[in-house]
Amino acid sequence: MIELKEIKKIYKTKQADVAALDNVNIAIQDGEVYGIVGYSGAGKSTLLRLLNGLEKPTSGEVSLAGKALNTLKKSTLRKERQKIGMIFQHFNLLWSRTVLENILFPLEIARVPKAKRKQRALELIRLVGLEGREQAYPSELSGGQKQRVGIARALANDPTVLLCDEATSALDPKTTEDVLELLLDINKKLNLTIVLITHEMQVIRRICDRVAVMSDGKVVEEGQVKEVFKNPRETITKQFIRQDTNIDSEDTITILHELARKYPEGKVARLVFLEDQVRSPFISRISREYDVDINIIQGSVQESQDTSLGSLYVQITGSTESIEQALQKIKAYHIEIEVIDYA
Amino acid sequence: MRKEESFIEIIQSYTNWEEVEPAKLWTNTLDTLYMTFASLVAVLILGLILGLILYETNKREGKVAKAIYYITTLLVNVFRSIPFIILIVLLIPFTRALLDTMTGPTAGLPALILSAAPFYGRLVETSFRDVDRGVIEAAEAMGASKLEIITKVLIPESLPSLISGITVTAISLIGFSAIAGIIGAGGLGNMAYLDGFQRSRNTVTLVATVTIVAIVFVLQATGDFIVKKIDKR
Repeated sequence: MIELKEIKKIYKTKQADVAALDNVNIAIQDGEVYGIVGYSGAGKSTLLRLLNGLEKPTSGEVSLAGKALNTLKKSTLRKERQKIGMIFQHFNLLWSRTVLENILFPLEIARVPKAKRKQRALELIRLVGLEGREQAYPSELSGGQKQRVGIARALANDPTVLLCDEATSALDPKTTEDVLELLLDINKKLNLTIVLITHEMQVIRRICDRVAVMSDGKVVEEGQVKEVFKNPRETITKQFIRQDTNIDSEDTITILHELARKYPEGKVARLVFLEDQVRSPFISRISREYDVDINIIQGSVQESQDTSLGSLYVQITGSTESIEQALQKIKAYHIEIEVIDYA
Repeated sequence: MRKEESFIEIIQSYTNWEEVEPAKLWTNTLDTLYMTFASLVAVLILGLILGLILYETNKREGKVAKAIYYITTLLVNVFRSIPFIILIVLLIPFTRALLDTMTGPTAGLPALILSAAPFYGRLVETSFRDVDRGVIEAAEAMGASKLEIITKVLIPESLPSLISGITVTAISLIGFSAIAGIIGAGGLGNMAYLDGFQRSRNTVTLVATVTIVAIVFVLQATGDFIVKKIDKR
């Protein structure tokens, strides 16, 4: 288990002290995929680096499997780090080494005997699907392949934790999907705890079990990914989720505003449901039953780790009373509703 | 005498090949090569150390680091500012005490080393600073020690730039060695000045010059070739 207790990180600048992290408490279970989402400057990068001691907290405690990382001696900390893998947005491979040699690097540092090193590196190359590219240099690889080398390198010394620093932010959507797939795969296969930071909600949705939303050095919302997506509390969380469902595309916003102007008595709502929870044609039923018209504006279904998440933007028109009743009924179908005021 | 005629005579004075003694040319070339490469080895080692000190202490918190950086920078700047011809004269008593002589190729070495090591040290510092911060962070995250980061990351990742730097340094060392030659260190500079100019044997000066140019060309080409070979970026 990884625990952060009452963490504060303060950077002194000439003008003032800046709190990069402000009283952060997080507990991450073994084998879990834990995501931290936030805009740049929210403090997530500093937070991640506390977990392998690249950053030290100003106050508070960082503990990993019961050991307090922030009080370890330098040499002990180095030893500890060999059991914590890390991958990066820009991969950070050594250009002067081939794929194989890059993966050998952490093994050299851990003083693994030479014969074993090569065997282990080849194993890892197979694991990440880079057979045949052993002798290539990083400059000859695509972004996705580079990140695979990064992952293999991070796994070399059988770590218990893998830290991912915006690991897919420099990749195109298809490659992102592949890399996330690989991460989920090794999480299951090796029972590896994964902690990742990102600004893309899609990454959280696809592979995380739990999520923490950060803003201004604080964790403002935390919970099971499924729950947070269905029922976000904070405005910033809602922003991230909307960004993921493409609702903020120009077209949709224009349409939402137009409809709100045209039918001021109607209500625009976002309905969120889990695929396996909705088995009945609720829209036509509700429309009949309560004498309301339901206009579908935009809909999407997205994959998450173990289920799919549907979201539907609708406009409901009719008398105020019947709209209210209809909304109540929708809730009874286990569908979350967020009424959006676009007027 | 008409001006054109005198020009023709001057040009002819550069082609009296019988003035050149091949055996002397050979020994002088060897002397120049000896001065250049003997000092180059020392410059390489000292420059790497200086560069590393500058790189590691630059922009560090802590009084000790700041003091080391300040002193090293001061030394580097002082020795880089002294014109070579003055440095060599300045060092004569020191050289004499150290080597019991002030002539011959070995006597040229202290001044050559002292002037080129700070120069190369600065180049090394810049090369190290150009190494991707992220790669160093990755090595730290793997638990690499400072020494491992230097030997396994910093030096290999900046190798092309370190080699370009040592090529430039070697070429300026050849230039310096020619000046040292005039003071009495021997080599092609000595040959061009004493044998050539002072005895009005222009051909000797020309041949010494061409030999130096050839050495520089070969050095530059070798340096470029190695850089191209190892740079996999």
